[in-house]
This record gives sequence, C-alpha cells and structure tokens, in this order.
Amino acid sequence: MAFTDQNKRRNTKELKEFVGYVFPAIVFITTFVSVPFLMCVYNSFRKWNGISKSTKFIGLKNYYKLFTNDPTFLHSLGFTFLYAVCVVVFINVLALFLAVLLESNIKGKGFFRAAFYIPNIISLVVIGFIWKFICIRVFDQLAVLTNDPFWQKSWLGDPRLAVVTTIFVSVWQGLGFYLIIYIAGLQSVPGDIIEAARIDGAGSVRRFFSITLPMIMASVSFCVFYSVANSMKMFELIFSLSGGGPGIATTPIALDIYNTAFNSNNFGYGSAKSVILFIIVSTISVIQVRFFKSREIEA
Amino acid sequence: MAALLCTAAAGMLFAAGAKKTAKGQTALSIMLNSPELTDYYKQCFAQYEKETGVKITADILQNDYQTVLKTRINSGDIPDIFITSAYNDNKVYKDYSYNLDKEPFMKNVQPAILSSVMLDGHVTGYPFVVQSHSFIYNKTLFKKAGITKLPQTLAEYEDACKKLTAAGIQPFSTGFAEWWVLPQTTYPSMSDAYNGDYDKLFSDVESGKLKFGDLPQVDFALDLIDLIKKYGGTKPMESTFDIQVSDFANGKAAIIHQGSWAEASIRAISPNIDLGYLKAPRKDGKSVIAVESNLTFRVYKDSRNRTAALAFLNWLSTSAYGKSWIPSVIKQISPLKGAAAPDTQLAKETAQAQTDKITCPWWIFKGPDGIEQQFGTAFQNYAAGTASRQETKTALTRLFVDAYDAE
Repeated sequence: MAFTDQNKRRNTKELKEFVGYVFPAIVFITTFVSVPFLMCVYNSFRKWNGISKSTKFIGLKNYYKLFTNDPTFLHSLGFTFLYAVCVVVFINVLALFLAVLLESNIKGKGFFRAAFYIPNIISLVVIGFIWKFICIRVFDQLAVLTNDPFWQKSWLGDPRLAVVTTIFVSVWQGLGFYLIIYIAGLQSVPGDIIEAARIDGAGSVRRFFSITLPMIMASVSFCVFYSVANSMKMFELIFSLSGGGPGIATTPIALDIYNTAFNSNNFGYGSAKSVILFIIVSTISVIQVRFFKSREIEA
Repeated sequence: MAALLCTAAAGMLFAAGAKKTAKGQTALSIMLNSPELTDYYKQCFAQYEKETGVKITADILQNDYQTVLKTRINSGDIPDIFITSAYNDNKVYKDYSYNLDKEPFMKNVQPAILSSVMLDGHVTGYPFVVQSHSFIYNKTLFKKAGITKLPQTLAEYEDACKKLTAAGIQPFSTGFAEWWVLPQTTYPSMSDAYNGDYDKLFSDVESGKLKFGDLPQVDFALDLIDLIKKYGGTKPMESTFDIQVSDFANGKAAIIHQGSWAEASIRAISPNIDLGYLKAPRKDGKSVIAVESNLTFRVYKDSRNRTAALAFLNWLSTSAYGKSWIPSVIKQISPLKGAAAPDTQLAKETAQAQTDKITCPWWIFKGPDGIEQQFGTAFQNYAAGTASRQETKTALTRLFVDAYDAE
C-alpha cells in the first residue's frame, strides 16, 4: 500500500515537472505560431489589402483562383519542388559522403569539419549578398583575367543558370549542418558489429550499406525531414541572392507569398497561398516520417 | 516557474507602458523611405529640434519599407508621420491619413502638384519633393563618340548606341535585375497612351473595354527593352541599381535609366561628372521626361501627437530653413510656391523641361493598387527570354484584371 502511495506521489511530481517545463513553450508557440496561423486561415477566406480597416468575406474564391488562374503561383510551385528535390538529394548524399570521409583516418579532419560548418553560422541573408557579389563582380573579373567562357556566363541573369546557382549556394550553405549530424550518427555505430562483419569477410562497401547505413537511419530520417521542410520554406537566401529573378525564374512559394501579401497588397490571397504551402509541407513531412520510422533500427 | 513567467510578463507590460509615455511627452515619430536622403533628414530634424525643442525620431528604410509600415500599422504601433506614394496610396492609406484640407500651410504648395494627393476632393497628404526620371547620359562620353544631336526617337537612340559601341563605349547599364527599374524605364515611353487621358485609360481597363496588353504603347515599350538589352553589355539581367550607378559614374556605360535621386550617389563616386537627361522616346514622336511629386508625407489620423505633427509640416512649409531644405540641402525640386531652384544638373534640366512643357506624369500610379512589382516581373520575364512578346502582353492584361478584382 505504502509502495503505491509512493508511486502516486512520484507520478504527481513528475507530472508537475512536466507541466512546468512544457508550459512556457506552449504559451510561446500558441502566441507566436498557433494564433497567427489561425488568423492566416481566417484571412485566407477574405479580401483584404493588409492595411484597410475593413475586410470582406469572399469564401473560397482565393483558393479557386490559386489553382485555376495564377501562372505565377504554379510556376513557383514547380520551382519549389525542383529546388527541394535537388537540394535534398545533393545535400544528403554529399553530407553523408563527406561524413564517411571525415570519419576515416585522413589528415586535417578538424580543419575540414570547421571549414564545412562555417557557412552554416553565417546569416542566410549575408550568404545571399556574398554570392550575389561573387556572381556579379568576381566572376566578371575572372572572365577578364582568364577569358574562360565559364565565368562569362550570366550565372544570376540567365533564367536556367540562376536556378542552378540558387541550388548550388543552398547546398554549399547547408552542407555543414547535415555533415555534423551524420558524423554524430557514424560515431554511434558500435565498433564490434563492424569488426564482426569484417571478420566475416564483408568489404567496405558492403559494410557501409548493410551495417552503417541501417544503423544511422535515425540520422538519415532527421536530415531528410529537416532538409525537405527547410527547402520547401526557403525564403531569405533566395530573396537576397536572386530576388526570385530574373523575372520569376527562381521565385519559390514563400517569396511569392511575400510578394503577393506585401508588394501587391493582397493579404487575403497571400494568406490562402501560405495555407496551401502549410498543407503541402505537413503532408510531405507526415508521409516521410512514417516511411523512415519503419526503417529505423534500435541500436 | 509561474513566478518567472509573471516577472517576464510584468516586464513586458512595463516596457510597453514606458514607451508610450516617453513618446507622448517628447518625441514625434516618423517613418521614411529613400535612405539616400538619410543625412539630409537628420540635418532637418536636428534643426527642428534646435528651433522648437521637439525631438523627432526617424526610422529610415529601403526595400522593406512597405512591409514594415504595414506590420506597424497592423500592430497599432503607427508613426505620427509616414511616407507613402501619391495617387493610389491615397486610397490605400485613407483609414489612417488625416485630411489636410483646412491646414493653412497647404496653401503654400503649388496647386498643380496637389492633384497627386487628392482623393474625393480631400487633401490626403503633403507632397514633399518633386522628382524626375528618364535616361541619364554622360555628356563627355557622348562627345567622345561624336554624337552631336541628342537622340529623341527609337531610331535615333539606336544610331547613338551604334556610335558609342564604335567608340568602344558600352551604351547602357540596364538595371534589369531590379524589378522597379525596368517598368520605370518604360513609363515615360508609354505616356502617350490614350493621348494622356489616363483616367479614361484606367476606367476602360477596369471595365474590361481595353485589354492593357493590347495598347500599341506596350509594343513600343517592348521594342525599347529589346534595344536596351541589345546594347546593355554581356550580362544585362545582372545589372542592379548599384551597378548602374557605378558603371555610369566610372564611365563604363554612357546611359542609364534613373531619376533625380541617383545624382547624389553618382557624384559620390565621380564628383565632377558631366551628366544630363535624354528625353525618353515615344510612339507619337514626342519625347519626354517624367516629373512628379510622388513621395507624400501622411499624418496619422488618430495620433496623439497630431498637433505636433501638423506643426512640423507647417514649419517645413513656412520657416526659412524648412522652405530652403529641399532646394538647397537635398538639392531637389521643392513643390512649394516660389521655392528656390536647386543647383544640380538633373534638377536644372528638370526645371527646364517643366518650362518647355515636355514632361509626363507618373501616370501608372493612377491605376489600381499593387501592380508595380508584377509589372516589373512581366517585363523581366520578357527581357530574360522566358516569356514571348504575346505572353508578356497576356501577363500585363491579367495583372490589371487581377488588381481591379482585388480592390
């Protein structure tokens, strides 16, 4: 009897602690995320320029227009998917490859880890401006110096090349973060399993795909999840790098939402677009988490 | 934990309260764009504080101005005075603008300029500076290329470009990377649309009688863009405002489409450059410079400092320093009656153009709200080669239909 009492007391204490720790987060998330989100959903059914004191209910008209009569939105949707697929694939493959490389016994490990991570601690807006400067000014000088047609190309001015440039800069910037996650994952793989496999005669490629990769599935699922969500929502890097241009060639959905709400003074319509973005991102995330969860192995 | 939260909340409340009282007692808050004028704004506010003891705190922003202003309006943190455009912004900000109809200092403003801030017979703002834009050219480089007669038609522009190229000078720095430069480049050249009856033009667009893309002036504007792109160097889509200014000031390019606001930045790099306006070509054979008072001060209607805000505008229109601030400090053209003429090349040429009556207004602002950026991207898509001429016309038509639909 006394035993259960003690248990109960411990449970209440744990509950109190739990509430104590979680409560502030709930308050802040409600205030700064949930409430604005609900306001956004509310506004998406209305016509509002973002300034006027009066707004008008127009039902599903904003949503209807989105899919039937807005080539800019459809283009930005297409660009976002292309951008996200490329960034997610390149960033994860490269980061995993480099992580394996940096975990093997090569010289200057520490230096390379730091070097790859540095772009990640610089603000995205600054990265955008730096690369804009490099593409416009530095490439121009390199073209004069070397006469190489590679530098003479308009890397931010040609609609196709600009897409390549935004993907490249995003991968370059984000790589370090994923690299660190993968390195941490690799370090948690128990050495004895690998040793056992080696004794059984498994080569390094076989060891990687049959042991290491399944063991770090948790890291993989986190990195893929995180990079998908991030690249679907990408805004500030592209905003400062290409401004979404030339024209709308590199305009992702998030930038299109910003332009609609703040430059075209169409807040209701912009809200509808962001609700759609929310639905897309959350659907992809749910599917993805389910998929990877089923493949994770408890170590 | 609860105690900690309470303290935090109390702290926030206290901070908010403290800010309000501080504002109420001493300072007038003002929100401004055009950061190239920052130093001049500061001089003006310092002088005002010296003369009247009223302190002015200013927030000066560039690209994000609209966003921040909107956010502040929606959060209730509204500045006592803020800048917007004229024309359609009269309607956009009408819930927040104090009507200046009965303010005696408004009588000092030239009546012709007041039309830009009128809405339903009311004066909704204070036009504070007259600006102009057209093609700016480097007189020395033109001489070097042997161009004696300034170009006025599209064909003459092409001739001049050929001569410049032959002399080893890049004719244009395009500014095409900037969404606002490209449409601005075309506005003067499209100003003969409907023979200048813009009210009729836009009422026809609104009623659906006219598809904007079908205007013959759109074709002319696209021809102009083709010409600038052809003679705009190897990377025309990478030219930003900064690059235009530095290319022009360093003598790398002979012509840019910019406005009176660019002269200070150009002279910061090259103080003695000899520059002037070329008149923009038009389909009807006339050529013009766009001149308008577009930047408008608005007084927040429900501001607790409204009287103080009005007193500041009164000082700006009647005091000795206030009257001379725009012509002799900013060195641009003042909208006040009988103001002195500024001593800069572009301002002088603007004044001359006004006398010669070869100007056009910033007519696009008489149209619906929120079209400027879409206008810009439609033209950018064309210049970058992602949209054909016909697709561009369709896009222009669509954006006007959408904009009227959203009003």
